[in-house]
Amino acid sequence: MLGRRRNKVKWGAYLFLLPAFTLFAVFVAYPIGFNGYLSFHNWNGVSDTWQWVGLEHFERMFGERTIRLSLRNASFFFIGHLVNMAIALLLAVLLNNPIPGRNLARTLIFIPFVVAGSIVAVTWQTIYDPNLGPLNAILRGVGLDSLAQNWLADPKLAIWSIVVVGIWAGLGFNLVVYLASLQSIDQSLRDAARVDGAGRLQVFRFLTFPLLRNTHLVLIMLGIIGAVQGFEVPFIMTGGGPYGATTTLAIEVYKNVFNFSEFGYGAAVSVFTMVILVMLILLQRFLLREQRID
Amino acid sequence: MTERSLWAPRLLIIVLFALGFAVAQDVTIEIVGWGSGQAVVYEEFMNQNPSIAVTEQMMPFGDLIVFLKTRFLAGEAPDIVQLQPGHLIEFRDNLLPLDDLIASDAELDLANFVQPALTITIVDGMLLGIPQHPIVSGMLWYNKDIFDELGLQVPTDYDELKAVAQACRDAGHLPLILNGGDAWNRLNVVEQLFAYFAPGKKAQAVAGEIPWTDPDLVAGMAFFETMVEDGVFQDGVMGADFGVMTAFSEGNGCIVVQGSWAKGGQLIGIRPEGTVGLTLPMPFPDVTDSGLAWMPALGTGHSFGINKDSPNIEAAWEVMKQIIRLGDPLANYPVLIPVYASGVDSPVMARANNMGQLEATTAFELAAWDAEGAFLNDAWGFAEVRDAIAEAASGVATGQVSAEVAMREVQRVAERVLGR
Repeated sequence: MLGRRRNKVKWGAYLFLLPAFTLFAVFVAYPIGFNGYLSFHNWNGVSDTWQWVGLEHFERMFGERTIRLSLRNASFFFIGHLVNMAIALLLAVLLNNPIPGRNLARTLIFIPFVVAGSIVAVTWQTIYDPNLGPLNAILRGVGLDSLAQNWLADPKLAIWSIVVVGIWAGLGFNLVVYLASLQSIDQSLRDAARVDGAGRLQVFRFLTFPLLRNTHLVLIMLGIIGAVQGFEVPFIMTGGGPYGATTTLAIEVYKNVFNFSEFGYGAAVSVFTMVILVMLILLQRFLLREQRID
Repeated sequence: MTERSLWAPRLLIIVLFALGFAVAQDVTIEIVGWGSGQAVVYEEFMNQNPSIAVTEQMMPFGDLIVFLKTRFLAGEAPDIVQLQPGHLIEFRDNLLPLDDLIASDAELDLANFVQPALTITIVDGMLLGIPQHPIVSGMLWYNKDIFDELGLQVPTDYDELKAVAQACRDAGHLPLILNGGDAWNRLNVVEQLFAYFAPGKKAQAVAGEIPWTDPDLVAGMAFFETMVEDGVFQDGVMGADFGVMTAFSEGNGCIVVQGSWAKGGQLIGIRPEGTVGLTLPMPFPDVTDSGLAWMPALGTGHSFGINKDSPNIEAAWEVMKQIIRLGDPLANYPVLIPVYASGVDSPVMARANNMGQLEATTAFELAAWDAEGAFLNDAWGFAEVRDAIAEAASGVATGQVSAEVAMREVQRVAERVLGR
């Protein structure tokens, strides 16, 4: 009797799970599986013909200059994200104090984050224009002609020019996250440290910063994901050029799928991207687990 | 009469109305494309053919190919698609060969088409698209007002081009403007360099008859770097965007790389005299100084194809014939060379208000289409090869790679694509 009752409860639970499971299966599992299957084929996206090519796309991918550049650029974007985090933490600590105009400052810093990426990209494209843009005009205007550059045309500068845009656009988000975390730290801990004779810097270094560890980890992981998946801003600003200097894995997927109709190769790059991200997420879980042991 | 007894006449009215509508427009032909469309062409068609309705869905070109592929994949493709000729190859399995339709149609004659324009829409020996809007590329536009002000002559060789560029820089103007951030703008220049340094060899390389590493083609690519280093183009040319083109249209530049289509566009368009300065077309100078005549690149801006699985192929063909007859003359572009010699005068002429520019441009275009060394523009065979050439130009111009290495990369891509 009891067994039957238990079974009934179990089936009821499955029934409640069904809608979520269906959505997951249709919109997550199936596309991932389809993408994986596609990565072993040649397909132009329209024809009925699928040609099995095995691991050919993956072999090709690891030999492509643009894939290597994408990974290099992802690391540059990540470095930019670390700089972004440092600035955001500094500002968060500052704006966590009751200083005049802090609400206005928080709002102003957050605004770029809510502006559409395409608008950010076009705006900065105009700012960086070497002949007509305001950046070079200002530099020349104050006598710093030698600092006026071809911001997006110089392959060494272009990627960092885009990194700066990322810092500007993403600062608001990191700031808000840090502010929220700072406000969740019990003030009595800081007060106790101050009573024990710790200075402001020591409180920050030995108390506040370690207590923000989870926030650091989450932001770092988000930064890695953003760096690996970067698309909108570099695509609009440079199209990944010049000569792949600012390309990303997502741009390579887009180009191959939509410009060249190489759906199979694009799927292979997507699979590669997903593998990188899964590995990084596992790393994140490992780091957080270690923290719980501590 | 009670309310209840009225249902029968009401139903009758509804049925008759529906029947009348169905009889009035038996078939609806859906056209999907990009740009501003050509509603005026279809309105006239529907007036003449009340049983066929035509709907036109226009979208940004960037969205078009993905949209069409999705529709074809779902088995719900439009009856007629507007494509750039270069994209026809991607849809070769989905489009209806038009040769037989034209051959069997008493109203049309293949001989009346501008033949090079027709050639560009042939894929695997099948005519998959009807070309429209003939264009000339590999040409330049110059601001005559600035030239007159600075006492400059239209350059015909490389030394003259360099001198003009320097004079423009000295006067605070942008020299030769190139939207280098855009691949097809770079390709327009590279095509001309290939034409001067390696006449006829680009077509051979596209066909796989010679490698892209041919020394003459490499020399053409290398010269692109020379032009950048010599300051012929504006600074930061590879990072440029459409803003530099606007700079020209606002009178801040001496010369711009742009095709003949610009006469109908916003950039150089037909505007009142004096608004942006009188801009006139000029050939791409002979940068090899070998006395070669300019070899214009010819093509078509659009082409229209019929979905081979359309349930309304006959009606779609009737619409296509309307596009052939009236598309060019009635469309928004002031095209004066209809791709099909139908004898229809262009009413767009009447709308033109900068006749000086328009007449000069028309004469220039007509001469280009008659030029001996003319070749098909943007004919790179495959999108990957086109992209590889554009990337090579970008790498060479920014000093990241030598022309030899860049062209080896192009050859590698070409071999892979041809092998596939």
